[in-house]
Amino acid sequence: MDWFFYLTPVITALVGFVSGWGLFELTEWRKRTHHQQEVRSALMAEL
Amino acid sequence: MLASVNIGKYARYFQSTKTPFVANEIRWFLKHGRDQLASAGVFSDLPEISDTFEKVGDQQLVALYSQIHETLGVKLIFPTVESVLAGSMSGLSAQQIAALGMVQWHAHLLSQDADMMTEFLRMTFTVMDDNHPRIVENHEMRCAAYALRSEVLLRVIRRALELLR
Repeated sequence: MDWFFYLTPVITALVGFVSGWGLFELTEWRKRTHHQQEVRSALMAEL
Repeated sequence: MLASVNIGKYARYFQSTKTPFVANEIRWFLKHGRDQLASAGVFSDLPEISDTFEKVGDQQLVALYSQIHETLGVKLIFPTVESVLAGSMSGLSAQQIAALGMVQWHAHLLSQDADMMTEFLRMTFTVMDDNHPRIVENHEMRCAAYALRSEVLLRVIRRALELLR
């Protein structure tokens, strides 16, 4: 069971990292999409 | 909207074959332009005049607008288009960006015509004698060029809007 003792924090850190990264990307994607929609609306209003 | 206004203001420079087009643009502005200005909080107290113009025939409407004698062209600027073209995160397709580039390009050409109109108008006050009629003729030609460029710009804008929708 020693391997489990050592591997648990590694797996926890990996899962945490991947989840955090995914959440960050998702937030960035939502911000980017919102910004692009705003730009598109502004463009159409100007034209 | 401003490009559409130009068609009405320079109605006298369009050939008679384009009378329906010019009349449509005048009507479009009277109908939608007023709403847009009102929604932006500008001239919200404008009277409803589109109904009156609906009853007037194309030729009569264009003849009425042909009495407008504009001597100085207006430069049209598109700050949002400019910033979108300069930015890298617009999220627009290549075709949409190309259409916006065309809008920018024709707006630039329109500005050049406006500059030349200003220059020739100024010269009509300073150049006398034999060259005066030539300057007046050149100014008139530039006015006509401005009117035709306005039409091209309007069509390019409408195309860009189609692609953006």
